[in-house]
Amino acid sequence: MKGRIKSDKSRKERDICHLRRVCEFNIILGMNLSLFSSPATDHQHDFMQSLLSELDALYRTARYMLHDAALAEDMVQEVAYKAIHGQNTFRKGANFRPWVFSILRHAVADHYRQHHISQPALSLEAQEFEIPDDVSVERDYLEQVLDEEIILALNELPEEMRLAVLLADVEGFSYEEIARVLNWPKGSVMSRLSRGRQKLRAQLHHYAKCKGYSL
Amino acid sequence: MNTFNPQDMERLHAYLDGELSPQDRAAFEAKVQQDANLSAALARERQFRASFRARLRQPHAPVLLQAVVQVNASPTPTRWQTFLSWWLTPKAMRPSMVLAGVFLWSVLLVGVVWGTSLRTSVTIQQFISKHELYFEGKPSLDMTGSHEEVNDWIAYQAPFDAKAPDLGKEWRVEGARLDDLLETRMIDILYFKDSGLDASLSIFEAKEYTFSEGKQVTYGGNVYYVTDDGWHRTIVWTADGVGYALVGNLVISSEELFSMAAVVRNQFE
Repeated sequence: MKGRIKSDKSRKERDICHLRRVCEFNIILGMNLSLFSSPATDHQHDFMQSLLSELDALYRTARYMLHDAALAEDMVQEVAYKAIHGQNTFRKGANFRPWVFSILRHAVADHYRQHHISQPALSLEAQEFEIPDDVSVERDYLEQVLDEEIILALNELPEEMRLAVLLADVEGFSYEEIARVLNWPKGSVMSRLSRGRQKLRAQLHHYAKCKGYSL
Repeated sequence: MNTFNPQDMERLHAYLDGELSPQDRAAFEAKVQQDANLSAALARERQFRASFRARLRQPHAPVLLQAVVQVNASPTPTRWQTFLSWWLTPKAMRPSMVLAGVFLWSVLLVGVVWGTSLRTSVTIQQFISKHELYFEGKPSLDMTGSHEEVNDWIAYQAPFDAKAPDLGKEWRVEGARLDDLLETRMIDILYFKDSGLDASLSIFEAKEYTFSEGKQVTYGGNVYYVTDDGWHRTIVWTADGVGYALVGNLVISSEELFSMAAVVRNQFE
């Protein structure tokens, strides 16, 4: 499978050790030092609530980006760890979602780079494309494809475009939020996202047709 | 197969995303009403989005992940808390235990040494008190020994006195604490090394002597002068200018020093 990620055992073990240490650290911290710790400020409380509320979205996105549940879990833990320890860089009152998803985006990019995972080549530039017109309004061709095929179709998109589609179509990000996560010019989000979506839909439609889907 | 220009598709998506301005939105809706293909594409896209979103929003973060993040979400520890908790984590328990062990052993060692020192000093103090080992309010130098040992020593050294070599060495004291003396001569040094004793008795002869500042003591009908040179601490001088100074690990009283001086003097006489 193109772009399929195999989890690195040693890395996983290291991450697990790290996370276990973090948990032990915090459990001990909570148990032994609660008397000394100052109560969390409102800002910290809001920050943690925001982080926890985005956990599902982070996990979903990481899973679709990495195609590995365990790896996605580890990565979200890593993202959460970085977010918590970097919360001083988060400006109070700023939009939390783009901030934390940009951490995820960098983590995913680092993972791809470290594991030399190649990305499909697809120009971000807008060009004319064809929309199949044999797709019925009444029948949803998406119902004909399997989850794995959706993953495959997503894999056909370049990393950034895939992330943009997931953020927009699954997590409901605005163009401005997507631009901040991906560090894209805001004006280019609409065209790039549209192109990514069309590529994805064409691929899914192709899968549906291969399985005998027709009008 | 319909061919849409990219701008139409971008507007279609932006329309569904709610990203068009009110003017663009109105213009797009007008165009959709006029273009059946675009209207169909809009309907397809709307349906696709609903299905796609429903399919892909299924996985939720595992409960364990949420728990880990929540645990991890403790307030940022202070440096002191970080330091302390680092030492309390299992990974750091070994060095902690090693350090704790070293610390306990150090405390034990210091306690033993201190206790021994205290016991010794008490013993010496008791010894001094018992045997009146003071002179001019000061204990004699770092000399220890029992009363019996002193007596034994006096008896022991007596035979040696006769054989004691006359060093005959002129011994000039410059800037010494023997303030009253301009010049002295070392008559003899008697060494005592036996039964744990390590002491020496130095016998001086003052060539010119006045004891203007020395303390005059009468003992056994004889007049002695006692001075302190800062090292021997106690030097007993006879009236004719012979000084006896004891140094070593033998503590003796003034009385014993007088006795010793008398014994030695008798040897000379």
